[in-house]
Amino acid sequence: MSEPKKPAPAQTIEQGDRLAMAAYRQPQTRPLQVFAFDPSLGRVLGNQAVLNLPYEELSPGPVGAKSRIAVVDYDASNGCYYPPVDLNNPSVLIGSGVPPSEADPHFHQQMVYAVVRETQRRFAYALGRPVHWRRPEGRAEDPLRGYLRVMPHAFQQANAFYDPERVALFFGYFPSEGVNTDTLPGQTIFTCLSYDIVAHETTHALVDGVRSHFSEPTSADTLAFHEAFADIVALLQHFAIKDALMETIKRTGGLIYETVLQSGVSAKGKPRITAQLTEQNPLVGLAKQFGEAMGSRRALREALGTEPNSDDILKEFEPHRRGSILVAAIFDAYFSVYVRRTRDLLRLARAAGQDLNAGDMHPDLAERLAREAVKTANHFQNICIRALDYCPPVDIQFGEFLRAIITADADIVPDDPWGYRQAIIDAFRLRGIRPGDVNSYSEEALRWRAPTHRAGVPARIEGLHFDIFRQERLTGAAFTKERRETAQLLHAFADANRAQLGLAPEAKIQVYSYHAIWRIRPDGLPEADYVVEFIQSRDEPYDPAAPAPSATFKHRGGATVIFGRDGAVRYSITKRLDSADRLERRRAFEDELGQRSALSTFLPDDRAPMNFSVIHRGC
Amino acid sequence: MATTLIDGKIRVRMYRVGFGDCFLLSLPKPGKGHWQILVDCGVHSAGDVGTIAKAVENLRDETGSRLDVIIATHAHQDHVAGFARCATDFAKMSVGEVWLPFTEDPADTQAVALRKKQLALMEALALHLAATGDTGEKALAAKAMIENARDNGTALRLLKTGLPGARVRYLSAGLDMEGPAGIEGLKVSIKGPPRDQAFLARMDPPKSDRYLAAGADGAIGAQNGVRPFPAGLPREAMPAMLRLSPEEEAALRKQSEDLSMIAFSIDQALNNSSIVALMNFGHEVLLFPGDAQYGNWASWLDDPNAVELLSQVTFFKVAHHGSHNATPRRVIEGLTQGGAVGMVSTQVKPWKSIPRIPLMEALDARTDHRWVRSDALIIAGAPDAPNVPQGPLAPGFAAGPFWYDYSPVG
Repeated sequence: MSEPKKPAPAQTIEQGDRLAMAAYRQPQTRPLQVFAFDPSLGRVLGNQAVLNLPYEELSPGPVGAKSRIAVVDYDASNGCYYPPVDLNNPSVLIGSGVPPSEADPHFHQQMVYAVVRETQRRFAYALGRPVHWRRPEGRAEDPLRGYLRVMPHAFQQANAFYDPERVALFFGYFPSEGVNTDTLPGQTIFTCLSYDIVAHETTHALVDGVRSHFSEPTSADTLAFHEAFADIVALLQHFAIKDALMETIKRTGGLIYETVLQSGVSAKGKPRITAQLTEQNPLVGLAKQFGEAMGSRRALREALGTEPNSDDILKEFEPHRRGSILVAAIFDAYFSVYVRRTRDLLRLARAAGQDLNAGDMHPDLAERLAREAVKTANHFQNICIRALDYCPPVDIQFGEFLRAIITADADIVPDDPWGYRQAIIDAFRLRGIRPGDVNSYSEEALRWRAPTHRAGVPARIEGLHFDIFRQERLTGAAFTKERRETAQLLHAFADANRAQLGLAPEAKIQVYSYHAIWRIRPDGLPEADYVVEFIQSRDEPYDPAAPAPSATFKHRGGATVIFGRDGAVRYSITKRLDSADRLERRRAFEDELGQRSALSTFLPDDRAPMNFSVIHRGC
Repeated sequence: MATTLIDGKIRVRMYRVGFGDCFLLSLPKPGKGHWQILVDCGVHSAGDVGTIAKAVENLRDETGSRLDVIIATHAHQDHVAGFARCATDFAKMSVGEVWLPFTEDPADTQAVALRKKQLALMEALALHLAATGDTGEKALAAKAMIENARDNGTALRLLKTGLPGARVRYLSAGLDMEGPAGIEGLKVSIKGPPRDQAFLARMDPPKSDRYLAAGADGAIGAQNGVRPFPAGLPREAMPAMLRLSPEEEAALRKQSEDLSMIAFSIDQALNNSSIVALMNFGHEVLLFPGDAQYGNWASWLDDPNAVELLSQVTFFKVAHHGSHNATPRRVIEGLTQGGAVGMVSTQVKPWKSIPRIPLMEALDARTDHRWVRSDALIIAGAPDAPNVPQGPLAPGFAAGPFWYDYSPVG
C-alpha cells in the first residue's frame, strides 16, 4: 500500500496513520499499463491496455510477497543492474503505473510483473486454488526461495525462456536487423515488451508448478505439450482483452479469425495511409516483433491456415510444429463457439440492413461481439487450465489432455448449452488426435472413469482437509505439520489401494503434490475436491541389450487421483510404471530424440533434460 | 597406370582418406570401358590420414582422366577439400558434369544470402571460440565443426568455374534424370536437398546474437554490444533482495556467451543441404545420401513411395560417416534384409561419437554382415577402428592399400 501522505504538523504520525486507515480501504485491484501486443504496433489497435490486477503490496522491483513474483533486473551482457521501479510512488500510482515506453526500464519491469501476475491470476482462478512456482532443491537461505524471478533484460540474445532449475524467466534484448517496416535497423528489440512472449514463458513456469514432470521430454507429445499449452494461454489472452479486440472486430465484420483485415476505406488497391498499413490480424499472430526478428516461430495464422487433417499428427515431431496442431485444435473450437454465440447478433444486424463486409460496423454491435469473444476466450482459458489438474502426473499425451478437458469441464458445467465440449471433440477428431484405449469420440467415452471398473466400490479416504482458506492461514510449524500428516495419510491410502488406483506393486510411491480445489459452478454452488499426484519411478537402461553398467534414464509412472468431498476416489488417472508398452515407446523416443538433436552428432550421450532455451531458439 | 576395372562390371571404390568422403562409382559401358562418377573428394583437416593426393592420383589412373560426373554433395571440407588440394590434377582431367546442391547456386539469391550468413557466423564464431580459449568437450567439438565449414572457397570455385567444358548443375529434390551426362541406362532420382520454404527456414541460423550480427550481405558488424539504457548500477547499489549471488551472475554471463549451439545448428543445416542421389543402373540401386541428416531425410521418407524405394536399394553409402542422427532408424529398417550392402567412410577422429556403434551393429545385421568401414584399413599413423570384426571380407568386397572395392556378385 502507498505511503500515507505526510501528516499535517499538528498530528502525530500515529494519528495520521489511524486517520489514513480509517479513510481508505485496501484496494481490490492495482491497474497497470501494458502493451497488449508489442511496441511495434504503437498506439493503434488497442495496443495499450490496462490490466486490473489483484491487489498485493509491492516493494521496489517490483517484488510481490503474495504472488511470489520478483523482478530482478540484472543484465549479464553488460554486467549491471537497472534501478528497480517503485510502483507505490504517487506519481506512478496516479497514472495507472508507468506509461508505456520502450526507453524506460521502469515500464519494462512493470509490464513483466503485470503480465506474469495476470497469467498467474488466471491459473489460480481456473484451478480453484492458489498456484505455486516450482520449489527447487536446496537454496534454503535464499531470500527469494519460493519466488519466480523475472529478469526483463537478462542478456543480449534473441531469446526468452523459462529455466526450471533456477525458477526464473529470462528475457533477452537484441538489435533488430530492420528487414521490415516495423523496426529500424539496429533498434533494440525487447522480448519482455511482447505480451505474448511474457505470457508464454509465464505459462511454462505455471505448468511446471502444477505438473513438474511435464518438463521431462518423455514423448513427442509431452515435449510439444508445454509449447502448445503456453501458446494457447498466451493467444487466448489476446482475445480476452476487449480493447485489443475492437479494431479487429470492426475490420473483419466480426470474423475475428480472419487472418487479413479489411481496409476501412477502400477494399481494393494498396493502402496509402498509416492507419491502414496493418493488414494482418494481430490477434492471430504470435509475438510479431520477436517472430520477425527470429523467423522461427509459427504463428497461429499458419496453424489455422492449414486444412485440418489427421496426417500431420503422424508426421510432425518438431515441438513447435507438433504443438501447433494442438493450438489449432483449441482455436478451431474457440472460434466455432464464438460463431455460435454471435450468430443471432449478426443476423439481427443484417436484418437491420447493415452491410457487415464494408468494415464499418456499428460500434454497439462491435462492442457486443467483443464481449462475446472475451467471454468465450475466458471460458476456453479456464477449460484448458482446469484440465491440468485432470492430467496424469507424467508423460502427457494430447489425447489424454482431451480427456482431461472433457472430464473437468463436465464436472463443473454438466449441461453445455453452447456445445463447447462437442466443438473441442470435433476439432481434436479432425486433427487425428486420438486418446488411447477409448472406443469412440463420444463425451461419455472420453470422460475419465471412476475406478469402479477396476474394483467395485471406490475406496474412500478419511481425514483430508478440504478447507483451503484454513490452510492458507496456517503458518510455520503448524503448516508444516499438517502438510506432513496429510502426505502420510495419502501415502498409506495409496499403498493400501495400489490395485484400484492403478499403481505398480512393489515400487515406492511418492506423494508428489496434493491440493484442495474449490470451484464455483455456473449454478452458483461451490464444488470441493482434492487432487493428488502419486509418482513412482525406476531406472531403466536406454538399451536393454547393452551389458551392465549401461546408461540409464528415469522412467516414471503414477496416478493423478481426484477425491470427492466425501473422500471417495472419483478418478484415478494413471500412467502405469509397469506397462511394457510404455517403456518400449519411451525407449524408441529416446532414440529418436538423439537422432534429431544437432548436438548428439558430436557429443555422445548428451541427454539433457528439456531445455527451453534451445527449443525457443529454434536450434 | 592403367585401369583395374573389369569390362561389364559395376564397381564402387571407397578411398580411406581419413574423416571424409571420396567414392568412385564406375558403371560399365556396353562392350568396353566405364562411365565414371566421382562422389565427393574431401577430408577434414583434423582427421586427415594423408592419403587424399594418392587417392586422386589413383582415380585419375583408374578413369583415364575422364570423369563423366562429379557430385559434390555439400560444401563441407570433408567432402570437397580434395578439389582444392589437388586442383591442378582435376583441372587437367576431362569432366562432363558437376552436380552441386541448389544452395550453392550463385543465381539463387535466397540461397546465396543464407550461405553468406552462415559462413559469416561461422567466421565470427571461430574468432569468438578462439578468444574464449574454452577447451571443454563441447567447445572443441564446435571448433572442429567450424573448421569443416570454412575455407572451402577454392574447392567450390574449381567445381563451379574451374573445370573447362564441364556443365555445372544445381540440384534439388524432385529431379529425375534419365541418362544424365550421356550415361546410358542410368536413372538418377534426386531426393535431397528439399527446396521448400520450411527447409530454407531451418537453414537460417539464429540471428542477432551478441558478437554475431551478420548483415543481409553477409558482412559481420563489429562486436555490437547493445547498451539498452544509459544508466546501469553495480550490484552493491542494489538491495539484497534484488541482486543475484556472484556465482549466479557469473553463470548467467557464461550462459549468455555460449554460442556453440549456433555452430551445431549451422553444421546440421549444411549437412542437410546434401545432394541425396538414388541411382538405378542395371539391377543395382545405389543410394548416395552425402551427409544428409534428419531434416533432409524427413522430407522424402514421408513420401508414400519411400518405403518401396528403400526396399529396392542394393548399395547404401551410410550418411555422415555413421553419425547418430544421419541415418534414421526407418532407413536401416527399410532396407530389405540381406538385400543391400553398405559402405561407411568414417573414423573416430576428430569426433569420438562417430561412428555410432548401435548404428554399425544395425547395419551389420540388416546387410547380413555385407558392409565395410573405411577405417578398418590399416594406414600408418591413422586411428584404427575399434572393435571391428576381423575376418574375411564378404563376397563382392575387396581391399586395396587404401581403399575398399565393391562389385555386385554374379
